Amino acid sequence: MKRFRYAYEFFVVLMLLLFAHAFYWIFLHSPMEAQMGIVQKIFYFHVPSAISMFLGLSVCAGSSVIYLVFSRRKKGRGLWAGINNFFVERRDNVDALARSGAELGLIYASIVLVTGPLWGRKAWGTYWEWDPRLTLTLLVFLIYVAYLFLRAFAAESESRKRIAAGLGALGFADVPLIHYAVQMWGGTHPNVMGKGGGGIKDPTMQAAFMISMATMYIMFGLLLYTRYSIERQQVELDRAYARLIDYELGEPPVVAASAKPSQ
Amino acid sequence: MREMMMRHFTLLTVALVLTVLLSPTSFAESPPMKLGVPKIERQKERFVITIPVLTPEKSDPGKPRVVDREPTSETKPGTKKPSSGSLTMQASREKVSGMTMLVLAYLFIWAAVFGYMLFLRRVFRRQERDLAELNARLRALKAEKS
Repeated sequence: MKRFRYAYEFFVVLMLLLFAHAFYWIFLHSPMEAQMGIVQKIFYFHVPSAISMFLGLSVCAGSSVIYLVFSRRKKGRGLWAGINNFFVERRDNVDALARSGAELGLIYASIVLVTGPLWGRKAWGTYWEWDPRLTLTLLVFLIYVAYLFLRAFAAESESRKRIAAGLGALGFADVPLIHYAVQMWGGTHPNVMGKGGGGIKDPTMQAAFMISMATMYIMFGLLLYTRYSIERQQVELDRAYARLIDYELGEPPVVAASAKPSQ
Repeated sequence: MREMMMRHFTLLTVALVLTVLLSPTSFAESPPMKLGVPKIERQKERFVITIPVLTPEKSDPGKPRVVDREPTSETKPGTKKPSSGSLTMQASREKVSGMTMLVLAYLFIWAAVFGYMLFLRRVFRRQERDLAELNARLRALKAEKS
């Protein structure tokens, strides 16, 4: 946040402008859908939230895999050794990114699980159906709740980070199942955008949807960057505290090789 | 910081739950729309609702929009049939109240996300201040020892 302050502020302003624009297109400009009426408008923030949820969980799973795979420095000058050492030096950052991704994925999953039933009540006559896609979404939500609980309440150690990374990577196996649930198992969840769905034909509806997507993605990027910066700064803060305690106790400060703030 | 995060998560959850609780008062509690197959049939058999194309509603000023609902005392056989004008008015009132609730839900969700962002920025600023303070103390201690 310190390094990209101006770019960050620019994107905040852009996001606010797009938000106002999306509001106008969704509620004032785009027409009502013929079959579903007003309630179809939930689609404009339900779908982008679901995609942002996938993005957040992908960031978490990708970072978790990197954390687990690249754990020790390798000797040599080859490409693989170079990649390995690059990530080993930045393990704290990778871990911070995994946590940030999981947290954001969970927030967007909450939005999906709130807006979906609101639409379902009107379209299906019930808030909840034990449909494959809905059930798997609830499952992924619970897996990442467990992930965050593990990170928040287990004692700070390398093994906690490794277990959390394992959970973050394995939990992601549910995400492709959510995506393909309708094609594989059917169910009541409609498939508008994916394979088999006809999509949106009306240009005004398309525009409203695209603007909503852009707004949500920028919001996601900003939130991820802010959350990641906080995690990184917390690591620096913890090290500074440790150094201060060492000084105050009169012992020479123990500074690990990776203790210098990474930029 | 962890306590603050947990508090914020609790607030966010409460906000989202409130969205669900508030929404039924209008569009969610009203009778389900006819989406191909009626609700009872839908519960009997498992099938995929396919919405091949999202199509905009055709505006036909001469024809009021058909609203599928249970027969009320007004529309039961033998009672006085309301004029098409009152049906249109009712549909339009529902449309307005549904739209209001949907706008409120939309703004509520975005307010929660914006709130989360502002909260994160506040945490970051606080960390920055703490870090600067700690570094200053460390420098002072170093100078004192040397």
